[in-house]
Amino acid sequence: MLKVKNLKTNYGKIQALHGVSINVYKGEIVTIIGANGAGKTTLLNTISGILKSSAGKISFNGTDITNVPAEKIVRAGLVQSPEGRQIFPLLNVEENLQLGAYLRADKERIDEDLRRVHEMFPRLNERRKQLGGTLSGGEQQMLAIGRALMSKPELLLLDEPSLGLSPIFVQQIFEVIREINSQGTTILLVEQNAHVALQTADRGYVIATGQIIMDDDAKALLKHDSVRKAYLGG
Amino acid sequence: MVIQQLLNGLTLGGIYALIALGYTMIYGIVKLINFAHGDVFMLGAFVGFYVAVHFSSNFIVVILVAMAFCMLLGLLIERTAYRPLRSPSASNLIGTVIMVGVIAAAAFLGRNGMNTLFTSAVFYEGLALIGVVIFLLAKGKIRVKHAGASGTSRINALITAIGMSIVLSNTVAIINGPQRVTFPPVLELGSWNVAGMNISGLQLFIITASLVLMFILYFIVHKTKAGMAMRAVSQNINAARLMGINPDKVIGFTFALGSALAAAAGVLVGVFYTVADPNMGSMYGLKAFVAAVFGGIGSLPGAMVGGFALGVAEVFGVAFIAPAFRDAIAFGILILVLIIKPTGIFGSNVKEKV
Repeated sequence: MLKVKNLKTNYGKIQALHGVSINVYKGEIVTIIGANGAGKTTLLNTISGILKSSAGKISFNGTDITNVPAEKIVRAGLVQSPEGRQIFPLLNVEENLQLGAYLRADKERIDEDLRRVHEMFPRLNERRKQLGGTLSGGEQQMLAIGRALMSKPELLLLDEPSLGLSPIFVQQIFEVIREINSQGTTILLVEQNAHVALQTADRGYVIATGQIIMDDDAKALLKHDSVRKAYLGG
Repeated sequence: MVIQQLLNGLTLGGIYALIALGYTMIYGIVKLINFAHGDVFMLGAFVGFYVAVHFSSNFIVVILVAMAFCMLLGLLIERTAYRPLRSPSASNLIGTVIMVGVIAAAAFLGRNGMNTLFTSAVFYEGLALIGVVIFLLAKGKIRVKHAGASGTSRINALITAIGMSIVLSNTVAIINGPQRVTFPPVLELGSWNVAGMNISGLQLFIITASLVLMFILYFIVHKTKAGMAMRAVSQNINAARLMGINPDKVIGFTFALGSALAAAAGVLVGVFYTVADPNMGSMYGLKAFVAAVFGGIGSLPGAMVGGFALGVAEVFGVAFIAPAFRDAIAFGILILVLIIKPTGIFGSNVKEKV
């Protein structure tokens, strides 16, 4: 479904990705784990078209989407829920969700998806008229994921959904991620919290200093010695 | 006397508010003080004047044509002057070069008349130069470089705005001549004498019209999809792109809206004060800018309240202190606001995120 080949991205003169290749197949949950500054967010933002790559190729469902502007990539069904949630603080919850459906015109389906998001996150329904910026961190994460779902993604990119959340919220969010996946959305998940990410995912990649250094089944990575030492605390 | 002056103040204030809305909207979305905005207002007055003299003396036609013209002008300014600074690609710069050519040709035509254009060497030299530059840009022989850090590119945009302002006012001065023009009476509404006050129908009309336009704007920004996209882009441009919103389109839309309001203000000024001149944009523009800062730049209600407050303050100052204080009052307010509450009435403290 998603094929990234030998991708390189620079910030000015500093190279952040040194030729990254990954594959995501339909129906999977794939995770990319790695330390701070390893290039996880850079990779997602380059796939999403927020950043321009300097070399390499990204294709989605067989179409080349390398360096296509972000707003066009969303239309193709590749949607990102960004790091740090980045909800619109001065819009209310409902408006935030409607913006997720910005490109869609099928009003009935949109309402249907809105109901689905509300079922998934009843809290968002309770806080419909509240400004996004006044929500708690966990609620904002729900809103960010809900907003991405309103774009009807085929492939959902999630950047650090556990960031800054209490352990209870982390569990909740990852249950929802599994649920979204079971309803037919493929997921590419970037996480620093390697433990919960590998428990949730089917396959995993380990990224360090802009390069993929390992890839395997998530279960195998969980047991792998060097992964345990570096990312799972021994 | 006080009520009479209040009415005068609200009339002027409605005009300031209409112009201030453009400043504040554009600032809200691209963080640029568009100093060319006052000149868009001036062009609105001039387009209204030309339509009224040459085509139709129907007020509705006059104001709608002026608004439509300035909408396109606003789009064009954004496209050719500011967008290339945000994303300097060859295709964006080709638009800029063509725009420069068109302005030069318009100025030349206005000065020398149609007949001389095609017989003058300057025209062909200019055309050749533009052709060469476009060719080099298209072939990638001229490389464009991004200003990089957002601080630098913001200053570049500000300087560009000042340049755009000079270009617009001088183009009109060349085509029209630097003298003022007298507006024909396209709207006559009479006046009434109530309790010793002279209440002009035109004043009531201007106050009402500006309120109606503000209401329409408020509706667009808060109740339509395009307005929601505007607010989204102003709050977080990258997140907006991840929703599938094309920021360039939204920014263009914002310029078009703001310019249409400025054009309406220009026609209203022309109708009420019966004159327009090529330099009127700078003073009205600066005062509307003060109104926007006073209300809190970036805030729509702020621009409305700031505009009316500034209009009333100015007229009261003229009436009760001295006419010579007219301009001093507006800029005195600016200084006070910047000392006491730099974020303005409705402005909030902006936290710079790391």
